[in-house]
Amino acid sequence: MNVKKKHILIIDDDREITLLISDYLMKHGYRTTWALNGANIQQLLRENNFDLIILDVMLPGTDGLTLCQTIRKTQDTPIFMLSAANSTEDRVAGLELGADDYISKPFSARELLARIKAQLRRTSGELQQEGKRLHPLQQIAFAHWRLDRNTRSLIDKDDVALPLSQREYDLLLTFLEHPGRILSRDQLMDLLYDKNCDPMDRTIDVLVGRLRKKIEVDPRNATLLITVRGGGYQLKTQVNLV
Amino acid sequence: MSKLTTAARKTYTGLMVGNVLIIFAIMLLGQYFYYINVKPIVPPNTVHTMAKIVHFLKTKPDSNWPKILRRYNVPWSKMTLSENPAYQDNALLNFQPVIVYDLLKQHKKLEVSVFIKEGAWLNISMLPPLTDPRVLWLTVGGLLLILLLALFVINYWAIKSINQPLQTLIQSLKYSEDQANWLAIPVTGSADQRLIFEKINSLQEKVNKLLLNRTRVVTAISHDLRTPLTRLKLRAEYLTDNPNFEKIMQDINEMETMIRETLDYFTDVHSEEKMQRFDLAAMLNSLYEDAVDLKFEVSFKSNVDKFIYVGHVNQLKRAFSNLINNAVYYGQHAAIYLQQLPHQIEITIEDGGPGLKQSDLEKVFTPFYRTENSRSRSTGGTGLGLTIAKEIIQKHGGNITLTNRSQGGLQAKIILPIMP
Repeated sequence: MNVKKKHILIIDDDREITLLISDYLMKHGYRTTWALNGANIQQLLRENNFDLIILDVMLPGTDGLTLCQTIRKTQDTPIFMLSAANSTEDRVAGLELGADDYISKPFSARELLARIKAQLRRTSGELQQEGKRLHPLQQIAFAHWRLDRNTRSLIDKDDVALPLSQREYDLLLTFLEHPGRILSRDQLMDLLYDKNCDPMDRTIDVLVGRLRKKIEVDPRNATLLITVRGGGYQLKTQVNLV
Repeated sequence: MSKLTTAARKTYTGLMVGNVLIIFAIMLLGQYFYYINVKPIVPPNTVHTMAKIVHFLKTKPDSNWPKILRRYNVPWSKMTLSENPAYQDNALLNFQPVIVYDLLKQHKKLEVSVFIKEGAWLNISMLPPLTDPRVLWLTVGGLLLILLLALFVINYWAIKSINQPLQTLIQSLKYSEDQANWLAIPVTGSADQRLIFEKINSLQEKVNKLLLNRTRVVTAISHDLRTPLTRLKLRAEYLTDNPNFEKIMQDINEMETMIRETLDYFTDVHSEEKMQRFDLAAMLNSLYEDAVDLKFEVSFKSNVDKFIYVGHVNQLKRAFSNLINNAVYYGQHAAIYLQQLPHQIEITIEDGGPGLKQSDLEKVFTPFYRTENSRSRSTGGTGLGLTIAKEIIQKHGGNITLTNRSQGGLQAKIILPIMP
C-alpha cells in the first residue's frame, strides 16, 4: 500500500462523470479533489500538491486546453486530457500544450486507472528525476535511431521510418525512459503488462529478441540492448530529445 | 442553331472581318504580280505622251521641233531626229500605241523610229529600269507571308478566345483534384468564362455546404453520444458482480466502436498527415506481430526484406490493420503476402473463412454495409473498416479488390503504385 495516498484533481463539467471517476479512484486508494470548471484552479493548485490532474477539454469559461497551458507554466504535474472529440488535431493540440496523455470519451474506469498507474510509475522514472520531461510529440534520439512517437516508428539515418509493433514500441519506450538503468524481467513485466512475472514466462525475452533484430547492427551480438547476467536488460546508449 | 453569346458574337465578327480583309489583300497582291509580269513598269501615260509628240511633230513646222522635244519629257527615254530611221527593224510609219505596247512587252525596252515626214524620222529609245525578278519575288513573297501570318494570328486569336475558358476550367479542376478541399476557381476572363466559373463555384459551394452539414450532423450525434456513454461505462463498473456485466460491457464497447469509427471516418481519413518514407515490409511485419501478440493465427511472407515506400504511415497502418482484423475476425486466420513487382507492389491478405457472396464483393466497401452473415453475428464491426481502408489506399493511388479464392476463403488484394 502507498504510504501516502496519491492526490488526483479531476475537472469535468459533467457532474455525474466527475463524481463517478472520483468514486472509482477513491475506491482504488487515491485521494481526489474535483471541480466542475477551472475558475478556482489557481487556488486549488496553491493549496494542494497534486500528483496528477485530469482535465476535460470542453469546459464552461476557460477551456481545458487553456487551463492545461496555465498549469504547465508553474507546475510539472502530469496532466490527462479528456475529450469527447477524437480528432487528431485536438490530440496534437492537447499534447503540444503540455498534456501527458489524451483519453477520449467514452473510456472505462479500468482503462483510466491503468493509465494513471502507468503515468505515476513513469513519473518516478529516471528521466523525470533528472528534470527532463518526455514530451509525447518529441522524437527521442538514441544510437543511430530516432523514435517517432506519433507514428510509433523508428527513423533511421536516411529518414526512413520503420514501424514498430505495439509491444516493441512500449518496450523500447520503457528503456528510453530509463536510459542506462538495468531493468529486470519483473520490472519490465510490471511496467509493460502490469502483472507479475512468472519465472517460466519467456514473453520479455522473446520481445527483447524481436526488438534487437530491429535496432541492433548485429542482433546476435547485441551492443545497444544488452543482457545483464542475473539482472535483466539494459539500454547502453545516450538518449536525447530531438 | 441557338443564339450566340455576346462574347461569341465578338469573336465571330472579328474572325469574319479579319479573314475577308486578308483574302481581299491576297487578291490584290495576285493582281499586282500579274500586272508586273505582263507590262514593264512604265508610267501610265508614257505611250500616250509619245503619241502626242508624234502628232505635234507631224502638224508643227520644223522650227518648233526642238522646242516640242524639250517640252515633253518621257522618262528613261532618248528622242532624236534623223533623216533615216536609226532603228531599221522597228521603223513605223504610223505611231500605233498597240504596237508600241507589244514591243515594250516583248523586249522590255523600246527602240523605234517613227516616220514624221519625208527625210525626218523620230527615233525613240526607251530603256525602263528592269525590276529585278528576285526583288519582285521577295516583295511578293514577303507580303504573302505577312498576310498568311495575319491570317494565322487572327484565327489563332479566335480559337484561343473560345478555348481559353475551357483551358482554365480544366486546369482548375485538375488542380482541385489533387487538393483535399476544392478551391474556388478564380473568376477571370471573358463574360462567358466568368459565368461558367461563377456557376461552378456556386454549385460546388452548395455541395460543400450540404456535405458539411451532413458531416456535422453525424459528428455531432456521435460526439454527444459520448458523454452519456461515458457515464454508462463508468456506472457499469459497479456491476462487476452482476451476471450480465460482461454482456453490458460488450454492448457498450460495440456502441463505442461504432461512434469512434464513424468519427474517425469523417476526421482521420480526411485529415492531412504528412508523407514519409518508410519501410512497408516492416510495417506489415509490425502488424503481423501485433496480431500474433493478440493470439491470432497469422502468417507473413514477403519477397523483399525491405521495401521503402512513401506515404502516410498512420493511415496505411490503419488500412492494413483493418484488413487483417477482418481476416482474423471473419476468416479465422490471415495470411499476409508482400510482393514487389516491376511497377507496383502487391499485398494480399487471405483468410480461411466462408468468403463473400459474389454480389457482396463490391458492396462491402460502401459505408455501413454489412453482409447478412456479419449482421447476425455480434462481431462488433461497424461496416466502416473496409470503406476506410479503400479510401486510404485510393488516396495513395492504389487499388483494392476482394475475390473468393478457389480453395475457399477471401482474398484482399491491394496494389500500390511504385512512385519514381
